[in-house]
Amino acid sequence: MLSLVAAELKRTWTLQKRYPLDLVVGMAMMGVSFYALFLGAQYLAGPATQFGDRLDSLIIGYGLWTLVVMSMNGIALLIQGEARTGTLEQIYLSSYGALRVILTRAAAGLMVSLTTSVAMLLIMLVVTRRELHFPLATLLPLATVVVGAHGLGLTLGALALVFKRVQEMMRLFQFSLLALVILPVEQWHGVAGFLGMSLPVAPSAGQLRDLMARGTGFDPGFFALTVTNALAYFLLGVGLFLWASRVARKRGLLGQY
Amino acid sequence: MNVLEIRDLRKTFHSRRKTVEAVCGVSLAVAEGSILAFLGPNGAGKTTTIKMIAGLVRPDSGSVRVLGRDPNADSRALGDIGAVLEGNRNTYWRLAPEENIEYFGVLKGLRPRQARRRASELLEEFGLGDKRGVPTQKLSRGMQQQVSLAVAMIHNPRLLLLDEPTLGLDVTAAERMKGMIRDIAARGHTVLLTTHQLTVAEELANRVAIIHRGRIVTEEPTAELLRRFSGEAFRVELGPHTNGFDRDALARLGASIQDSAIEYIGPPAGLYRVLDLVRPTPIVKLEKVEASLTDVFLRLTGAAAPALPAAAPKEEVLTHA
Repeated sequence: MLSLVAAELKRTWTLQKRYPLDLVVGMAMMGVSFYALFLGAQYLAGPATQFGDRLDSLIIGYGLWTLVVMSMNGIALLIQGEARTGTLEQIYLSSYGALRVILTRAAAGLMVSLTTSVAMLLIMLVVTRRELHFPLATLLPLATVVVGAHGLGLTLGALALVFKRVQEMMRLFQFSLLALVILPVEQWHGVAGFLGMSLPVAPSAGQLRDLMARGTGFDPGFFALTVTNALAYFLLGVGLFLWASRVARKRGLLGQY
Repeated sequence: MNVLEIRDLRKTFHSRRKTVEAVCGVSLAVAEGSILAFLGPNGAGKTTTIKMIAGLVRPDSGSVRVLGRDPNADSRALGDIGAVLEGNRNTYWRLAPEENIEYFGVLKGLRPRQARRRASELLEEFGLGDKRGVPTQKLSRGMQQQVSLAVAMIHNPRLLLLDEPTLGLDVTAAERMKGMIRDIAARGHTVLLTTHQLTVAEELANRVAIIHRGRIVTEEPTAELLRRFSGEAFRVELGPHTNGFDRDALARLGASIQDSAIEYIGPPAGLYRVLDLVRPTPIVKLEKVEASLTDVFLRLTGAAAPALPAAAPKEEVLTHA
């Protein structure tokens, strides 16, 4: 499995390097976004503003939103791209199985993007002589966000396997996700609270709000809920992806675009 | 030993408007180190069959065994299969050949170091050593196809599946590809290739299976197939004639008129009936000809053959002015 991770990282990085203009422009745009955030352009952070108007909160919120969108769209875009170029069938012939290859590829893409983002952020901190202070515990709900969002990504990927073009569905998912990130489910009680905690990504965003905007300490019980939620959506995504793979094989759709 | 065994394979595709029986009861066995050409016109069911063998399309019924394992149920079977599907759409065009081969090597279960070493060997073997770092999209179609073949061979599979391996290649590239396939089989790998180019099947395959409308109409050694039909192929060259011939009657006997000659495939007794039909036109030459796969294909499928190489004269039976 480590070989696969190394191969996917190498592949992703090779493609990034091969087209340096894309890489440079992407990093420059990221730098401009961070700089604008530093200057107070809160609207750039999208739904992140609810995490507080301090720079630390904006950056965490911005990171959350970027991670969610990247994790969710990444897999569907990957499957569509592979079907278009004709390499999807070769992935299904892999000895690791398509699910593991696709998840590893998505994770590798995320790792490369995160590395460049963090590098850009550090450069901006040096340039603007600013400092960020946030509890390291915030990284935990961020991690659950990535897991849960990958479950949603696998769901979209499953749809892409069967229906091929899912751009409109991706937009719908992204719009719904905006609501899920904003909803203050951590303050709901009773049945609404239970339902709120059952929504994808929402509990993780709620815990981030507790940590960043309200300044409450890290609640392990709440974190256990976010982990359960993230794993449930991840497993749901895995199940749907495996089901869609069976359907695609049965209908002979793997080689089609 | 049979590397591949297929029994009564069936697949029907359903869409909103129609139902297509793509493969109807195909059975095959391919022995180790041999090349079997799966020959048929477009839409005959070749690609669906090859994808069912690779586990990419699930059969409705029937069984596939690659060295005793079912690729549709046991993923270990995939370790014995290499596949080049849909021509040059098997690799990442933005990656170089070496990067592609290494990457797919890992996907096939090799460790990165093994994949790197094997990629180097394959690049040299396939004459791509000087192109190892060039993005695949900048290579000629023939070279892209060679890269696909190298990717399929990275894990040294026992069974190689090739879907139309020479399609779209120029003459030189096609010859090179055929040479590579011959070399691969000579090293003990078993090859199943689909083609609708009859000459490719004739030149490469030990055995030929002709598939038509999802059914295998014949499957036997290429040489035997040609021999069987060669005993029945004749060419009659005619002298100047003024009367027209009864083309329908000739066609019913299995004869066709080409310029000033008639080609007939059928039992020798029927040849006299053909000659009766052209009487009293002078016969310039009557010869027995060696059947090509084109003749066999036309005879067995009744379809229009996509490529018609001229039948080679074999034995002159009768010549008179």
